[in-house]
Amino acid sequence: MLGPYIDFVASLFPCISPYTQESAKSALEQFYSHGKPFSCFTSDQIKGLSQGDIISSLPFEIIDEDGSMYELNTSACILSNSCDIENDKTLLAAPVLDITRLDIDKENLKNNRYYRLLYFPDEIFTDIVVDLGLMMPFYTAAIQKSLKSGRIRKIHSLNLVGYYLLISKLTVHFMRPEDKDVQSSRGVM
Amino acid sequence: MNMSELVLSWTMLPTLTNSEGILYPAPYGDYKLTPAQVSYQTGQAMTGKSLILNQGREFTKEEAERYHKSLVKLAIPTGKKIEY
Repeated sequence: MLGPYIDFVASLFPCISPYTQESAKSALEQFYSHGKPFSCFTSDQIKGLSQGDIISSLPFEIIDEDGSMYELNTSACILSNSCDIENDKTLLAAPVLDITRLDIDKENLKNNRYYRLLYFPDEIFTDIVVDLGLMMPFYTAAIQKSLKSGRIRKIHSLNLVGYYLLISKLTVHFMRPEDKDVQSSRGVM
Repeated sequence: MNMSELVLSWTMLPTLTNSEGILYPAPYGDYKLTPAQVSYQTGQAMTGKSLILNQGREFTKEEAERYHKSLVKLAIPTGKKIEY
């Protein structure tokens, strides 16, 4: 069941060596027999604002089909690179949503099967999901000021495992291969 | 070993051992792999059954519709409208 999947991934990313491919299969088999959630967040928050931090709360824009605009005030996951947060005027953030209020297949969501949704399989915080499809820019200085005044607070920072998951989902969300028709339409140089 | 150490030791995330002999993931900067490899290995490591790269998918039209409606329910109308 897993073998074809791993072979498929290897074909998507030719840089994966056959050795890595085979090792992944055996690693996965072990994971299957014992797999359960584990921590994705640090117990101590990282100082300052960093990539992956979850803060409360920011106003996200939702636009309905007829163009009506809505404001969704919710926690946010900072997606900008930590270095860019320090230097740029704006940063990118995505809304963090309560999965119990979303009309979506929870099993698919919790298994991270949706490209645009990032679910942290954390052992404590089990009901939140980041929607990468609704990311928006915000003024960094305004957020920093609100953090200082306490109007916004930092809820979590990611630990390294959570951080790896964040970058992997960002990679998959933005850089998975396009379908063959689109690729062929681009032509060759 | 506790569960998180076991998980780390099974995965191919780069690990280090601290002075107390506890395994932890190596800093990202120590990762001598391409982003695609990091993505691939992390996907394997983190999701077990879920396999984020291959079994991942876009929303179906129906799912997208239902999901969007539930988002709108959570939001407050601003009274503004974009004219297309």
